[in-house]
Amino acid sequence: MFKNRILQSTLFITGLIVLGALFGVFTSEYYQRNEDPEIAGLLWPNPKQLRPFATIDQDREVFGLDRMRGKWSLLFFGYTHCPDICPLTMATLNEFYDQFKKDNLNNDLQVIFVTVDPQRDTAEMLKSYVEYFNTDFIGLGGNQLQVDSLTRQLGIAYMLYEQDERGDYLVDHSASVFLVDPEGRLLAVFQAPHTPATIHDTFLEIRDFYNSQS
Amino acid sequence: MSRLALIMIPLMVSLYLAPVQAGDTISLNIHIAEAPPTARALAGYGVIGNTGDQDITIESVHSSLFEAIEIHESIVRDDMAGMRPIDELTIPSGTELALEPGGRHLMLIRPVQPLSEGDQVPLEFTLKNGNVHRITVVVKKPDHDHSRQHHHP
Ligand SMILES: [Cu+2]
Repeated sequence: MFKNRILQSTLFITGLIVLGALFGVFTSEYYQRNEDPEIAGLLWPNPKQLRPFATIDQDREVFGLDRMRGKWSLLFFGYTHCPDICPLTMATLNEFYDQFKKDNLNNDLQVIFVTVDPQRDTAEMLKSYVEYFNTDFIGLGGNQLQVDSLTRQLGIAYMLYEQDERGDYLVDHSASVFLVDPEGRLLAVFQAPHTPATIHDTFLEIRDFYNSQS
Repeated sequence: MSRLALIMIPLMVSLYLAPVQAGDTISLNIHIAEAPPTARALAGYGVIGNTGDQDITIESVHSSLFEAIEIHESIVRDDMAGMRPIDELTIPSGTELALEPGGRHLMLIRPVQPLSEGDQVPLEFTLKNGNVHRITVVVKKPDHDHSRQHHHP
């Protein structure tokens, strides 16, 4: 009876190990063989390799493709005169990022706000804007040509409206969040509406998939 | 001129200038979302209620602390986000209208001084019927749990 119990539990544990191993083999095979793992927004099997670009960050340093290599980058495109959608998205990114940073001691992610209205959004404005949400966040601008050296490649659409009598104008801009992988490839586009949880889950799923490919 | 007249005339003038609020059944539960210190535009959110049997239309909003205030609606369509001004805002009788992140909001343009959490801001709502409602609202940290992004995933 006692021996039987030991045999039973040994069999059970062995069974679990075999199942686990099979599952591991199966999932890695699945990922390796799957051309399209069906993660929302993932651009696979053809992520877009970015070419060098030159924007200016909130500390007036040049920010180009080299500063994306070796890191994951989450980008959002907006303008600081936007009081509703942009702060809402920045706060969502901050909530996601705070949680992510707690769970990942080896932080390999940078969150980047890119202005599509660099005429009004100077480096000082960008600095105060991004740091209000999170002091780790990066703000990118420059002149319109420099900004466009990045937006064109990512297919970011935006539109500046006519100025009113005060000199103010509205801007339409992409509502999506863009994920660039550590090789500088546009790997995913997350569509609005955004929540900290969906960004978190989708990003981790994509990062796992990415790691399974190398 | 008698002393009484000296007192009465300014009193009558001030009564005449005071907003006529009789008959309006509007409730204004509004706050301003705190924004980065260099922000040139802030958003006002909250709930506007109309408990009466007449529709109420807000024609304009003013404040001494902003160069201009507009009523806006944020729209996200085909992945493009933008804002459109709303000329006037009608609150049908017996209804409430929400101003919320990602939807309709007060667009408070060019603050005359930086504003942060706890600051008080006077607002003046002018209705189509000519009545004016003056309220003081507070600047609050944004509460994103109650945004449209969560209600309409
Ligand atoms: Cu607006």
